[in-house]
Amino acid sequence: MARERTPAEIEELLGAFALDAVDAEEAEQIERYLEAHPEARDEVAQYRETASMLAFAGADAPSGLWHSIVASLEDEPPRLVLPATDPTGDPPPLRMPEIPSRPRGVDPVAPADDESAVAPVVAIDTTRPRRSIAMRVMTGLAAAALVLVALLGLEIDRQGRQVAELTSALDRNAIESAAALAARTPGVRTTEMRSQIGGRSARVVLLPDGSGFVTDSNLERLPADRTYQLWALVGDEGDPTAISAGVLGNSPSTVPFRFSGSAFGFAITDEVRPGVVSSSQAPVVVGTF
Amino acid sequence: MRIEDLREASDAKLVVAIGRYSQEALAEAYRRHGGAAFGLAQRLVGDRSMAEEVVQEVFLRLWNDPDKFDPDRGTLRSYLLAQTHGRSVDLIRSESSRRRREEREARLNAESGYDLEREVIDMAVGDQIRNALATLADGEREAIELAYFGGHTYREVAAMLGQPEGTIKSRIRSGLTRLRSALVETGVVGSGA
Repeated sequence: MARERTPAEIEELLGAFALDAVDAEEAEQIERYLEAHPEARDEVAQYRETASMLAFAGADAPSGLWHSIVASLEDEPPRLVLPATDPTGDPPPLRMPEIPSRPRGVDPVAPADDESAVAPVVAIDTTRPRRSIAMRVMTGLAAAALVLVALLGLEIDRQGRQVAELTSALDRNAIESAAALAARTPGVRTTEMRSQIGGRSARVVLLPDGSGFVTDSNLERLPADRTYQLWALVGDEGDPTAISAGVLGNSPSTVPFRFSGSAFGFAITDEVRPGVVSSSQAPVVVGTF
Repeated sequence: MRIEDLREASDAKLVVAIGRYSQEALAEAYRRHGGAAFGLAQRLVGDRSMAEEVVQEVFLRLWNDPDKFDPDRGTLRSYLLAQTHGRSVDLIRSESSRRRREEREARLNAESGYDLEREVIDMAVGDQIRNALATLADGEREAIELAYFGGHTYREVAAMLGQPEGTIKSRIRSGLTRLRSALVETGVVGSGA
């Protein structure tokens, strides 16, 4: 059993503790001590602040790493069923499973607006304050019935915001460069998605790690209240399932996305902004690997 | 909050916005501090992909638990770097082979002298920090360098330098205190926590 240290011994260790230079057993005792001694907590915070000044700060934050961080914020996307496309005629509409009606946004008290008449669209109030742990539990119990639809709404909202946030946070040229680099990466898979009529097309570049880009798009610009949405096609090619892989905006050029499943192709639909959980639209373009 | 506002926002406001699921705010936090976090992680783990893993985890933690950051106890930068340091140290201590290599490298450093100044050379406040470092006794600098940048425990540092453990504990603490006083004097850090 570990020896219990005296307060004086623990005080002497505070500097080493602030630098993570104590072993696990000592760290545990010190953390217990800090809970009861705010002045010691302040001392550790001061040491850490001081140590942080020593850290190298000359490099820019890697932009590719930011892409990974954003991608890892995503939840598992919603699924819907997509029938096989008919190569001889207009592409059929996406077929989807029954989705229960849902409130607008994850906040059940958030006011709805006129757009809520568009049934499959779910939006989030992005200024919603985070709740305390206790409030989360209480509200969670009260809103248990809304959890599923809220998660679906959160997913779609995050996918919808991903484009805007990435393009604002990263330099556009960096995205273009990353896409060009991705296209030359060994093991990359690409597909040219094409429309049945009108000569519309866009390319998907998908890396083995699930990160990808929509590039070389000549899709026509949509009105501001509409957006293109990317769907990964998985499962049986004769009866495929489409999984939302991101919302592309109304005038996509090069857009990053992430899809870690095993897709045999991709499709893009034209949807009401900010995107949908399930689509009834015919794909604008479709392509398989 | 608009992106232009985020650029001007304090760390505390930024974290409040992150608490409201603003990815723009997280992007701004990353823009401000991602480079420092990545540089520290890479310095510690010595491997780019592992350093990226560490930084990704640190920013995900900020996204998932913004409440853990207490602006009264320090800046967002120091909070993120402390998280980065802790996670990096966990990694290098969990890999015995890497650890042995790190120790060999650290021993070489110990024999050939330290270069804390070089670590801060590109910082905007580099001069003040170099001056503050000059106030440290050699033994204090060695102990802090090996513990902070080598990721070693004070016991390991004591063994490496052939000094009693109590001496190394004292040197780390007194060195940090001295360093802080000098940085407070020059206004690089505030006098509070």
